[in-house]
Parts: sequence; C-alpha cells; structure tokens
Amino acid sequence: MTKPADSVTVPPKVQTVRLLLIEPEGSGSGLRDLIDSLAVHGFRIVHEFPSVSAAAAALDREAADLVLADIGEAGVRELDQLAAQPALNSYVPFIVIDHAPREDIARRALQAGAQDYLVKSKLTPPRIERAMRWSLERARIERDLKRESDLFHALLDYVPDAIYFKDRHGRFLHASASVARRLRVDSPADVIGKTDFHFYTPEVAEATFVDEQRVIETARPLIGKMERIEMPDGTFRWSSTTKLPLRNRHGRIIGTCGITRDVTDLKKLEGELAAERNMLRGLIDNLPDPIYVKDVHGRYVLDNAAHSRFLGVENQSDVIGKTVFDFFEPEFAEQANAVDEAVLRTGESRMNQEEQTSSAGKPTWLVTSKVPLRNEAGEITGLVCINRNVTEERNAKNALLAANSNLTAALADVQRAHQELGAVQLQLIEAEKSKSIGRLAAGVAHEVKNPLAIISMGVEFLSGKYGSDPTTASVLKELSDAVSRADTVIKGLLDFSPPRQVELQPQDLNAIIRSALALVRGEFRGDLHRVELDLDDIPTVLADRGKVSQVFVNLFTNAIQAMDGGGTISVRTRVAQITGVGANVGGERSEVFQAGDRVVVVEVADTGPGIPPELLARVFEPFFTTKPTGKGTGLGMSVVKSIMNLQRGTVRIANRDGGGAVVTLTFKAHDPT
Amino acid sequence: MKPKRILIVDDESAFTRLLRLTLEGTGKFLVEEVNDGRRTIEVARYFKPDIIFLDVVMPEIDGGDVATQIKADPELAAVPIVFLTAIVSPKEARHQSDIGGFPFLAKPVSVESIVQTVAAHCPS
Repeated sequence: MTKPADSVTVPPKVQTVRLLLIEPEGSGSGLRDLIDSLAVHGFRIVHEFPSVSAAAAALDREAADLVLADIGEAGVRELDQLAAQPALNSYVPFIVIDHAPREDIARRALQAGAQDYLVKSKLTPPRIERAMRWSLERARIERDLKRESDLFHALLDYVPDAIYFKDRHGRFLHASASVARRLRVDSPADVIGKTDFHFYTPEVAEATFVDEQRVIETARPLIGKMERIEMPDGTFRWSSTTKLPLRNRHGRIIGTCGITRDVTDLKKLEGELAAERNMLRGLIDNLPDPIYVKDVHGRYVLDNAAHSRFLGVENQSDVIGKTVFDFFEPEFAEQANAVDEAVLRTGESRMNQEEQTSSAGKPTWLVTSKVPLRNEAGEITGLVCINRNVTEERNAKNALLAANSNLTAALADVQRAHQELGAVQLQLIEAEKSKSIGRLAAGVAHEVKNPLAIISMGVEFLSGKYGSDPTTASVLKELSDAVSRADTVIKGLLDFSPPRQVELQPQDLNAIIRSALALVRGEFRGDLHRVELDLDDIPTVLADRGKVSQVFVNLFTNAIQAMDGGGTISVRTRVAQITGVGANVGGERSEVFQAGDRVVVVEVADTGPGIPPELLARVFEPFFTTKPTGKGTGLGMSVVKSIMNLQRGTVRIANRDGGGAVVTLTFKAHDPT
Repeated sequence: MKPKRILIVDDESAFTRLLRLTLEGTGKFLVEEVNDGRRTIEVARYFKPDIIFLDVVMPEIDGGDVATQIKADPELAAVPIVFLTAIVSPKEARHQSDIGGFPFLAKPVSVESIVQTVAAHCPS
C-alpha cells in the first residue's frame, strides 16, 4: 500500500528575490553567508559589486529587486553615491548596512531613500530577512502610490476639463492645470487657498458658492449644470459643471470637488444648428407654396402652413402621420400616391407636373415637384414635395383669353357699327342733299312752272288753231312732251320739300280716314283688295288735317303695296285710357302721355308678309324701304313719324300674330274745356 | 248754250292770255283776265264769273287773301274758287284738295283739266 496522495507535502511556491550586493573588498563575506542561508526563502544574490560606482551600470538596468549596500569604511561618500543613483530612489528599494551604529549616517541614509539602516555586527538571518521583506513591501506600496499619484497628476495636468477640489469655505485645495489656464494664472499652485471671489465677478462667484454650499449641505451632487459665465478675462463662456461632495476617510464632507467643461463651441454649434433649423423652418412655413415631406409609407412627416391651409386643416400637427387618403377624394389620392410611389421606387424626381384637384371644395390647379429624400447612406427615406397653386394664373389666363375673344368680338361689332354708321352717314348725306333739293325745288318750282304753264297753254292754243296740219301737229306734240318731262322733274323735286308748319285744329279722325281712303281708292284693285272699317265713336283730336291725311295716305299706300297679291286693310279706331307710362298703347313715345290721359288709338293692319323682325326697328329711318328699287322712296314711314311727332302723337309698328303688319297711331283726345 | 264765264287771276299775263284764247276758241267759255290780284273783286263784280281760277303766289297780293276777300263779298261769296299753284306737288295737291273747300290744280294745267273742273263746279 502506498501512502494516500493527500499526505504528500507540497512545498509552497517561493518567490525569488533577486539581490544586488555591494560589499567592499576585505570586509569579509558575512553578508553573503547570511543571504545564502536564506536561499530557501527565495533570496538569491544575482550581482555582487565591491563599490557603488562599480554597480552603477547594473543599477541602471534595474537588474535586481533589492539592493543591499554595505557602505563600509567609505561611509558617507558611498552613501552620497547611492543617493545619486536615480534608479534606486524611484524604483529599486535599497538597504544601507553600516559597520557600527551611527545616528547621522542612519538619518542621511533614510533621507536618501533607503528603506532601512542596519548594523552589520548585529545582523542575524531572521533579522535581515524581515528587513528585506519590509523593504520590498514598503517599496511596492510606494510604487503603487506613486503610480496612482502620477496618474492623478497626469489627469490634472492634461485633461482639458477644469478639475478642482475645494474645502467647505470654497477655498481651492487642489486644481488641475486647466483651472489655472481658465483663471489666467501661471500654475495650479497659484489658486490654492483662494476662492472664486478672487477670480470672478461677485455675481459669478456668489452663484458658484451657493451651488457648492448646497452640495455640501445636501450631500447630493450637482450634475451637468449649463451656465453662461463671465470669465476673468471678460469674455463669456458656456460651461457644463458637475460638483460632488468631497469626503474624508471617515465619510465626513469636507468640501467639494468639481469638473467644469467649456462647452462654448458646442453651444455655439448648437446655436448655429438651431438658427439654421429655425431659418429653414421659417422659410418653409412662410413660403406661400405648400411644402411637405412624406416618409416611405406616404405619411406626412413635415408640412408647412401653406400646405395645412391647402388641405383645409387648421393645425399643422393634425397633418403629421396622415396620408393623402385622409384629405382627398380616393380618385385624386390614388393618382397622387401612384406618383409618390414611383418617385420612392425609382429615386427619380418628378418636376413641374400639372394636376387638377380641389381644395376646400374649389377646383384647383397645381404644379407639383417631387424629389426623393435620402439618408446619409443614400437610401431613400421619403420624399419632398412642393406645390404651386396656379389656379389663379390659369383663371387669369382663361379670363384674358375670354376677354381677348370678347374684345375681338367687340372690335368686330365696332367695325360693323362703323360700317353701318358709314351707311347711315351716306343716307344722312343723301337725306340732307334731298332736303336741299326740296328747298331749292320749292323755290324754283314757282318760277319754272309758270313759264311751263305758259308754254303748255301756248301749245294747246296752237294745236287748236293749226293742229290740222300733220307736221305742225307733230312739232306741237314734241313741245307738249318736253313740257311734261320738265314738269315731271319739278314734281319729283317738290316731293322733297320740307313739311310746312302744322296747324292744330280739332279734327274728326274717322272723317280724315274716310277721305284718305277715297284719295287712294284709285290704287285699289277691286277684285283683290278689301277694306274693313271698325270706326268707334271717338272724340276729336288736335291735329293738322292735311298732315294727318298724308299719314293715312302713306299708311294705306304701303299696305296696298305690301299686298301685291291682294288682301285686306283693316282700320280700327277706339278710345283708350293711359294706365301707366311705357306699358300700354302709347308705344315708344309714351312719355308724351301721362297716366290717366284719354287717347284715340288708330290701328291700320294689313294681311301682307309683315316686316322681318330684325328690320322693324329701322322702319322709321329715312330712306329705309323694303320695297324694290323704284317702287318707294323710303321716306313714307319717316314722314309718318315726323308728322306724328308734330301732332304730339305716337306711332308704333309691329307684326301681327296672324301675319301682316299693324301700325298703331295714338293721339291725345281733345278736351274742349 | 250759254257760255260759262271764267275769271282767271294770275300775274303771268302770257299765261292768262293764252288760256283765254284757247278756252274762248272752243266757243264754250267767256274768259276775263286779271293780272293784278288787287283788282280781282272790282273785275269780278262787273264780269260776274261762274268760276274763279286763282293763282296762289302773286307779287301784289297772295291768292289766299284774294279768296278771303271773295268769300267776304256778298255778291261773290257763292262763286266757286279753284287754286292754280306751282308750288304744290301732285301728292300735296291731292291731300289738300278739299281743305277749306278750295280745290287745287297744279301748274302746268292742261286745258282739259280746266274744262273738267269748270264742268264739275258749274253744272249747266
């Protein structure tokens, strides 16, 4: 049977401690022997030199964990050399060994950084082992502390944020290099023991002090406080400050520590960004054209005031998240959505597309541009759309076109009117000429007709006396014809002579009508023309008998001529009462009568073809005639009109329902009182 | 048959003379001429015409006035008067033919129209 495994004793692993031994020649090998006896504990001499100067190179290399230096007879000189070794102080612990106890040497050794001062004669293995272990442990602690301290100082020296520690009264205990820069002093040492009141304006220092006191009193940190501070150099800087309570090892709050970061540039950038954002937003909102952004699902993610208005929505936020289908008829929404999807799918912009829609119920024309929106990776994340409402432009354009065509039409009217005016002018010139001829004729007729009468009479006389001779008779016949021809010319001229003064006398219109009918009787064809009289018992009217007789002769003559193939002339007289101005028997000159006037109305109707409606209004124009050339002068109805005006009466012409024309004359009844 | 007595008042003596010679040539009329209208009443009183033909426009006196004088004269008032005028167109003459009972004849007149007018106003 073998012993169980757990009974085997495994020696603990021993850390090897490399020793560098400095021992002058001739001082014996006591130290080496001592150390060698400690080999089982890991102590091993790796270098051995007779003097400090001889060991310098090895020391520089830090070739040992611990240095044992027997300063021997040289004493102080060796000690000074040791102290001058840079590696020893900082990194490699050393123990000074003297031959006899000397207090001044011991003090100097410790001041030079030695971990221990031992007297060689009193050394025993346990004692030196203990001394070496303590030295190593203390050196390790010092090294660690030094490392931490170095890190801390590096932090304080190089971090751009201001780091500082203050006591309960706000006095700086410690400060980073950046604090010194911030406060415009040369080194952090220059701020120690001072307060913010020394550097800042009272307002800034007071605010800081209040903050710190609150941290101390409440034991709660102040984190990330943003503040704009007037700096000692008079500039304003933005800071983000965090302050924590500073405690001692018993946990008691002894002050504050703080870290302040200058965020002025960040703040400035933020401000610039905000300004840019506001500017863009302002631009978008104030543009009169609707603008919106949609995501890939067609949801509005941004719109401006014009777009909200366009959608008929009061609140811009009511648009966000909705789609075109929430605001428009399906037909238009589908159409718009199809365009959006095409832009999103292809990434191609659609510029200046014209489309029709309706906004708030009114037909609206838009010019729309849609552009895809891409993120930094170039992926399409939505689209931007700008509309321009061109309804007014379109309407204006259409109105302009309409106005233009109206103008063209108006121009045509004006040209036509101009031509008609020209024609009328010619007529007027003709009429004026005719009047002149008439006046001339009236003057000349008497002078010409009397000689003609003499010649005519002479011819008749000669005919009676010498007419039996054929040659004489033929000469006299030619003379007679010449007189007739001259007479015809004069008669024709006299037809143009101006109307003479009217003589208004109470007249019986029925009697005048009868005598006028008798005068034109010769123009009737008994087998074709009939006359129907329906003459009421009417009061007299004030009229010029000759003139009024002429009126009827003209009317009857026209009627007969209008009924070439035969027909009936109906003449009707009656009494009427004017009931209202303009709305009754009076016709176009009804203003000559007053409501309540008693009037005599005469209607002369025929059964001819009537007058083309478009010509009715021109019937009373001088020289207007519907008769073939040579059959009428065109003066008859204008003479009727002027005579009726002279009588203070009216005349109106119309077509009868059953065919033919009817002329209505209205005279004021004569009241003998 | 007793010839009709015709008085012609007209300032144109050539016209009155030729009319007189022509009418008297027929043997049916006795004609007296007056070339100064103011003498019409005086001549008419002794001549006692059956009918008077009266020119309208005369230098000394208007035909209308002469007619008024005739109508005002008790001896002559019943004698028919027919105007002869040069300034009336046939149309006007037709319209005014019966105004005031004075018919018109437009110059130049034919002998035939005179004869018919006399026959119309002075039945045998």
